[in-house]
Amino acid sequence: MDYEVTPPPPPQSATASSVPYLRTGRTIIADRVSRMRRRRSGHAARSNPHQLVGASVAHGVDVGREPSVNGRRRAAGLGKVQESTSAALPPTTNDAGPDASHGAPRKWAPPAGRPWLRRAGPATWAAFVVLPASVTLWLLSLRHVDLDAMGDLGLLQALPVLFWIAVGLLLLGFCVALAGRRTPHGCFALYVLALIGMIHATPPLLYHELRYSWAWKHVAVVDAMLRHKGEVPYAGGFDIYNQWPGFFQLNALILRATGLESPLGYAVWAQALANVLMLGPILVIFRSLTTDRRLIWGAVWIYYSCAWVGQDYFAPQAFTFLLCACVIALVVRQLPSSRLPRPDAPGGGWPLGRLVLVLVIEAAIVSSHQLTPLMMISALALLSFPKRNRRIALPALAGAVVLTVAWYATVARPYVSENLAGFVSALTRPEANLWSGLSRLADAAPSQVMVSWIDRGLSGGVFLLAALALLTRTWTRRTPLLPLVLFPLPLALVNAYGGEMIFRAYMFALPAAAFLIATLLMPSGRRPQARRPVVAVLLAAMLGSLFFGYYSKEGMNHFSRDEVAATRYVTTKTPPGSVIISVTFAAPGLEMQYDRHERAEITEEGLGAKRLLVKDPLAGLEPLLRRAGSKPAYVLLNRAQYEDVHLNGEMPPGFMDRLETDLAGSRDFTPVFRSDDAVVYRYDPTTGGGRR
Amino acid sequence: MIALRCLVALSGWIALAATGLPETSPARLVVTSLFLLVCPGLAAVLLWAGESLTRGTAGAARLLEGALLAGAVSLSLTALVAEALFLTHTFTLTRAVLILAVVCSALVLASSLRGEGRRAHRVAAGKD
Repeated sequence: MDYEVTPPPPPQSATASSVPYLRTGRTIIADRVSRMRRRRSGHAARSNPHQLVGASVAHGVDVGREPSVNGRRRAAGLGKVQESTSAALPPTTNDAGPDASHGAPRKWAPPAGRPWLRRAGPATWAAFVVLPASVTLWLLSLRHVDLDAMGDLGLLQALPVLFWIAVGLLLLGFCVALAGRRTPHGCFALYVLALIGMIHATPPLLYHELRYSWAWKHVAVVDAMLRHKGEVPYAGGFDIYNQWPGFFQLNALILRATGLESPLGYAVWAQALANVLMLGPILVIFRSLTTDRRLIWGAVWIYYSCAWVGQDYFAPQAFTFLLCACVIALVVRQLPSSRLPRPDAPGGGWPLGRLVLVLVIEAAIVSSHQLTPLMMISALALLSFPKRNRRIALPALAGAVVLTVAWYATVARPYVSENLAGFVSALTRPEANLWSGLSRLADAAPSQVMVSWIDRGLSGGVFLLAALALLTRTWTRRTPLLPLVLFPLPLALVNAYGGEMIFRAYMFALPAAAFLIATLLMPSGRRPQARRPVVAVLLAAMLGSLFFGYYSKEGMNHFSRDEVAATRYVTTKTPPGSVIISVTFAAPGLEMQYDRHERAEITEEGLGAKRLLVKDPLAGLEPLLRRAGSKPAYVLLNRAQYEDVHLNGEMPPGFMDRLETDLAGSRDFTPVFRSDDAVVYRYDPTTGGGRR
Repeated sequence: MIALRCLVALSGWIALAATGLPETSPARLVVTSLFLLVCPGLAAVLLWAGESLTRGTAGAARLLEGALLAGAVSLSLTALVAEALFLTHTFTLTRAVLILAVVCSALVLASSLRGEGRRAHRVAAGKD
């Protein structure tokens, strides 16, 4: 077989390879045919690239395949056919060597030293200079942050101007990096890591305690499972965690093995870690769709700029979302449309070992969370609609279905049988399910109404731009992007998931939606200079909206040491069986030892009980206190609960003040713990039940 | 690759030994967490997706996929072993780490045997 060494491919058709290009006679012919077709079709070919893909495939050319991964080259020419027809494919990488933009052939020489250093242009160098400056400014900005300055907009009001300058500089640097034709993957990766750091590492660097009361709840579940060596008895409403224990028992094993006392130490960093780890699956998904590094990293940046939902804290959802993204990434990279080389397998299906790995991950998802297995099944089902995908998607789908049904029929059977009627009745209310999370703005603080509209605008804008991309970038319709955007929708229609479903649906759809938006904003070779200001403004708007959604509730999401001490007192120093009453859920670790205490939240009571509480707080408390029977009862009030009531408006303005004043003035309540940010009252009924 | 295989095969036993160290020992923290979060998945990848651990024609994309597989499968296997032991009320730390160590060693052994088998097949076919 004859080979010849050829110069690097022309700019629009280059791939990232830096190895000498070996071409067979067959490849040269295919290249000529391709060039002739491109000349004939001209610009039309670029605007409708799949015409050529179809033609190439029809001629028996295996477009998009790269050499076999088992170490032996298949036909060396196949990879080159892909390059020759790359105008007909989803965009490929834009870097083509320093002289490639002239289009003239030049003598090819192997790269010396680090290829990106040799090829880096001014934009890349500028990006490399801006990045450390931005990170330095960010770290400097965190030195003297006054957390007491938080108001109705949370951390947005407490962060200094320098922080926002650092964020702006990072965005600017990323836009400059995008403008560089030869910016390497590493530079983009550093920018994205810096972005993750600025968004998700800022709170743990500023706060002394774990953020989010929900994260504290999951720490309590791990603690309870460790104490009981598995299933927690008397779990009450927390029994659901006994039936999907994967995440908690993973943490229990890690704690036992490492010798750590509690997951609190690493749970603080869970959000930053979850987002860094998420980079892996979304990169594999995006690299399966294109080799254009600007498109890939633009999509990654958009993903992190729009992920405002905040389901990335220490929780089974964050864990299973990551695993679900891994399953989808492994399936998408294996599909016939993948731009990554596929391992050999009989009949174009799965290599058996890889399928086993996917099934292992699916099993962990199924046993760790209620919703994610259903999302995974929906995704795999939609991916298996096109006939060409079935050899890959169906085995993974069958595995997911079998594992889910088996789990639901065994370990999770109590929960499923208890709630089956509710699931069925929810099927008849698709509209209510879809919008159930959006109807609670009437009593919220004005700042939170504004933030809510910003969140809605960002989410709506994301889906609008994604739809526009599907309409205008026709090549995206031949990729798995459409099913990957739509798969959460069926579940959003059939269940409200406690008003959370629409947010979870957004979260699951976001990676594909981000990629679609990137195809709209960063098309290859279409006068990118003219678009740069628009792209920069849009990226800034996305990032700004994310900060509103992510940081504006920090008043209720962060806790002081005093609050932690108060909840620790009320959960560990009180007799077993005590009833612990709070106004809202916003307290750090209120669920600690949940198997030993009963809890009551005022905002979870019915409308009649709430009315009574508003009319006379102490009289309204009596039904809750009666639940204790002969056991002690405690009332915990802390700063975050005040913020929660104020921001979300779940009780009328002034209710918390009136409650605390009445408790302080009553002879039936004795303050047993008091600090600047929290107070605990014990209920000591006087004879005859007389009150002040 | 041989050194990597040996390290992964032994990692579980080293982690098992490390669980005997005091709970405050940094060495115990590092060794056991590295083992639980990386090694079971890496052993499975060595057997079933070994090509993901070499750069190949796809360069770093393939290494990224290898890392993704190793991490996700490790987390999954560790979670599944913990669950199985907790659900059957047979959980002890030694038992959990021992199972994972045996799984790791078995997977690495199987991948080595498969590599040997392929090499012998190539030699027999006169390709080497």
